[in-house]
Amino acid sequence: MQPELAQVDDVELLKAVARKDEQALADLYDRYRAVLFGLINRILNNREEAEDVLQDVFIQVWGRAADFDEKRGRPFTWLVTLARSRAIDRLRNLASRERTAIAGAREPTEAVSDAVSDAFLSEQRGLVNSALAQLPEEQKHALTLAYFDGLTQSEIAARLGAPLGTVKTRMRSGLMKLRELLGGKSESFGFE
Amino acid sequence: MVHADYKEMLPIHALAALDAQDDRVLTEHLASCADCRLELDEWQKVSASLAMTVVLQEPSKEVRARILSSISKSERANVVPLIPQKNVWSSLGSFGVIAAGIVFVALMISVLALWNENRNNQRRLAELATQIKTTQEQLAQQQKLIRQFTAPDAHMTELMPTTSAPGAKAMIAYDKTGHAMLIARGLPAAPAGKAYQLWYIVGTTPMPGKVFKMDEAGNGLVEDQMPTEAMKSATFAITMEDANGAAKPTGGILLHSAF
Ligand SMILES: [Zn+2]
Repeated sequence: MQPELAQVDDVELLKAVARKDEQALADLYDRYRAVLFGLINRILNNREEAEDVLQDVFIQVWGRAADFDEKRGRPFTWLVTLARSRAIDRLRNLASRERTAIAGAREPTEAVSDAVSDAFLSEQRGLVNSALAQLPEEQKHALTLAYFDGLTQSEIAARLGAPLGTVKTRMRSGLMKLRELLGGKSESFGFE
Repeated sequence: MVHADYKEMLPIHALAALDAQDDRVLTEHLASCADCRLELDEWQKVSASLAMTVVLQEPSKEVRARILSSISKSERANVVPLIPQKNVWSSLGSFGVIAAGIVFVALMISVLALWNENRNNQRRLAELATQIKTTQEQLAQQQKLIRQFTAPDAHMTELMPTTSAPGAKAMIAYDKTGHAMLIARGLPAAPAGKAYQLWYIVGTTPMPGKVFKMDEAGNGLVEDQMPTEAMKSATFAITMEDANGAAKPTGGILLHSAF
């Protein structure tokens, strides 16, 4: 990790991207590729598809950086929301095209070396992981099925054999608890 | 449905886990409720924090190279600006057909009618175009549009009116490059300072499209470049906004495609 990179504010970086500064996009990529690729690949379980989606995401960032509104949230939220929604779209697309193939394409997940993780990200990751660990198992499970498997509330209810109302409550309570636990602790989530 | 019901949906909406029906209901509500939009932003932050828990992974080096080469290409190709145009005629003007507005709308309606009959009927469409007395430049533009609308990869979607716009109709056609053309009929002329605006709702996020007005004959037409994220799956919607367009919808949905 280049130390100077972490010092440039994400917001400034996105503003530079909006001004069509190619280096700024490259810097943003270098900073977030590992977490975004980790996320996309967690959803798709297919490196090739995940790389394709990652590429799409950054091309979109290039085209739409001017839409980013810092009053509404942090760049991290914006990037992650974009990446996840593209990945879920791709997942649903693939699922309808080759429902069975994707399940067979599950690949072992390899963590990257520390070379790509920076101090800032590690700290944030630590906070979220410990917050998540405090959630009741069933809330964590419902959140995971929605967030990483792209399932809707009814699909989750069917998968778990639980009433829909229960599933909704678990998701809501889980996010509420997470919000409470992260509140004030983490600048990058903008809860301060 | 009471307001608390919408509020309850917000965290689940942030997870994109609402069922289609709930999602449609909430999206419609969000278009007109700033309070819920603000709260949704908060839930989106919480939901995005879940991404922090993934195992970091290194994509292959080629991805970075592909991205950088693709963006420098798009720069040279002079991408379509994303700022909404003041009105539809100025956007048409950029295509050199400013004087042919009315002919153009008539042609578009014919194109749409023929489209419904037979989307591959390029020959009849070409004949139709040549019957219209226009300059070569206008003709070239119209032929370009016909090619676009009859291309095998073109998509056509109908927008249905909500109860706020009874009798209105609209259709949008777009090709694989995201070049889109919307034609609307049966909407009243927008009051001074107001215009209609096209939206691309992707997942739960409405992305602004261009604004347009209805002409004297009651036709509205707008040409736009779709955001890339809207091209795989988007709901198209029309609201009334300030004439310069809005970044987020403030008016209620007047027409929309299937959710
Ligand atoms: Zn509301």
